[in-house]
Amino acid sequence: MEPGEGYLVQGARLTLDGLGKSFGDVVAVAELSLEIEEGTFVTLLGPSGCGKTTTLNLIAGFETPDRGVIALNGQPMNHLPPYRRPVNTVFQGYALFPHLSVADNVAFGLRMKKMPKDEIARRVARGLGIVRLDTYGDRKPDQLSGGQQQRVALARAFVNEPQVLLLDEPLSALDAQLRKQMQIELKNIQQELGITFIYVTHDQEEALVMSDLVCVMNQGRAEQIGSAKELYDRPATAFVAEFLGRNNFLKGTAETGPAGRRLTLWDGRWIDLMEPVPDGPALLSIRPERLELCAPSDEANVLPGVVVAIRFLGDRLEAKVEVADGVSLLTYATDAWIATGEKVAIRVPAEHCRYVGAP
Amino acid sequence: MELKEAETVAQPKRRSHRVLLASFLTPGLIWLAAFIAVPYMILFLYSIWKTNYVEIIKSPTFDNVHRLVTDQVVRTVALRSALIALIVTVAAFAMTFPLAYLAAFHIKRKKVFVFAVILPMWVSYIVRAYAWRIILGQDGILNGMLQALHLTDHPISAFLFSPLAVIITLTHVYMAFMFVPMYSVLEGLPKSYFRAASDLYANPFRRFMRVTLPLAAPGIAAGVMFVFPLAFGDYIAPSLVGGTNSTMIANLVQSEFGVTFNWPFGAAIVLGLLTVVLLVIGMMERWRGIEDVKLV
Repeated sequence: MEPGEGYLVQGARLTLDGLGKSFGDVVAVAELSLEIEEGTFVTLLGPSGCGKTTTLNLIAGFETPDRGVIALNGQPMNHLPPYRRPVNTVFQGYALFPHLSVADNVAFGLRMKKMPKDEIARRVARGLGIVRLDTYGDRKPDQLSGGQQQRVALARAFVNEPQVLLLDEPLSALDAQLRKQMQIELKNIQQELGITFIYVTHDQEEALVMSDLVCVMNQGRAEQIGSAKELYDRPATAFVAEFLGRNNFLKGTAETGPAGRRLTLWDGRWIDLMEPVPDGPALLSIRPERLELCAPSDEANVLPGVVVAIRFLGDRLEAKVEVADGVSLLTYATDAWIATGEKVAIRVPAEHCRYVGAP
Repeated sequence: MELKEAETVAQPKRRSHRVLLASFLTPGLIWLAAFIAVPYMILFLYSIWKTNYVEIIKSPTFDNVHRLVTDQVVRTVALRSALIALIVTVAAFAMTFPLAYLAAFHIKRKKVFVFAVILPMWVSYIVRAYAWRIILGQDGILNGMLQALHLTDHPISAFLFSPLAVIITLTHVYMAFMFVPMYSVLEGLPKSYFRAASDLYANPFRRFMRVTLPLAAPGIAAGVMFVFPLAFGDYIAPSLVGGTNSTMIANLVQSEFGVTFNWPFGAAIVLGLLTVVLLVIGMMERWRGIEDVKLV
């Protein structure tokens, strides 16, 4: 494949099959398989050291996988050096060439592909237009603000019209407000260009706001792949449940009771189950906003407890309710009547409980 | 109110800070004035005077400047010095850039490697110059080896006391000055620049030409700024390993001061040498772009 061949095709299907990479004794990517459809905005989300950046480096070709296949539109590209892969990267910290002007930075890839001069000029102008830096072409990178540098890095990558654009925590150096603004811009640019975006971040908000598909990674593996809503509403593992947003966990034993399937908790307390849960020790997760504060009663799925802490969040209160020794649940209340030390009860709606594996 | 208070509090602090700063700077400034500024002023004065045999006539004249630009010997020696210095600079660059590159990017035990490269710098210059006499001489190691290999049946005398011997010695002596700044610049470059270049379709050669080399420019310029002036004004190498056909500008200065007793002309040569060196440094400064104005 010629290095520049890909620029006419927009967006490509990327396949990672059984990818593995270790550095000495440290396993960076244990076993990763992913199928990414063309034009998708995919986020690799996870804590630092989960292997997300290594995965990106493997796709870009900066690292060689120990095992597995990386394929674009079904064509393996393991053997291609980085400069022959039709992918481009927006680096963390941008890596803009300090000795080149903004326009020369943006033109770099096009010049390396030996594109005609007028085409280069046209694309650079268009690229700088898209990131709204039309008049900054003559500046040096160090004469720009962080947000502007970020946009130059983005333009430098996408003017090449890569089949896949890799973004390594591109917004991490920006302040909160600019980050929010850039999230929207990135998403718009992605939709406009139709390029497949693979976005690496540890910031769950970024992942939820921008992505079509989120892959939560942990210890070199994909914990769960799905839309942001799927991951939030139906976490498959305890890790995903805990990593995305806030969550409560209930530990117990799943069994069949007189009234059907249930999770037996403590002191003869239980909650009815709607999800299929295998017999034995089980862990359930439930979002704080799904729990309801109520008056103590003997109804099913109502756990009595004591409010042990309250935090004021502006539009609501967050209450920590101890329902058993060492077991507390977080929930939200919009009313101000609740106070620390108060005896309350919490209703745990069975339809919102998620089985996230054995504890 | 608050501002005023802050000012009255800050003022004595600032004053003591200044006193401290002055006390740090004064010895150095006195040293610079006494041993750099004053001597150069004296040299300048001498350069516009002239001699009548051993007597120095202290009236301003352009004779020396005129002689400096017209004298055939001065011209030959100056050109030779410049040429030798240029070759030495290029040779030092050619030999140490790969080392600096290797040390910065490919060697695992960097410290040991760098130490090995700059180790010779801690051996006295004179000792190293004499070492080259031993290597290049008629009964030297080089001739011994060539004879042992039957590449020649009689010792070659052309090695020593030649411009080549001067070039070899100077390159060896000043190599480390080229290596250190280039290494430290290359070593400090973030890996991401090279990744970015590869990512943007630059093959290793073009990546080197378009990214590595331009980014190494400040280190190269610094190395040139060390090696060229040092080699250009060198006195020891041409005296010890150079012959009559490898006299350099410093030898000329020495003979004006020590042999012909023409101090004014010697002073003029020194100032001419200084001018050339400053020009080279100015060019390098400009090339590495440290005068770039930051607009924002």
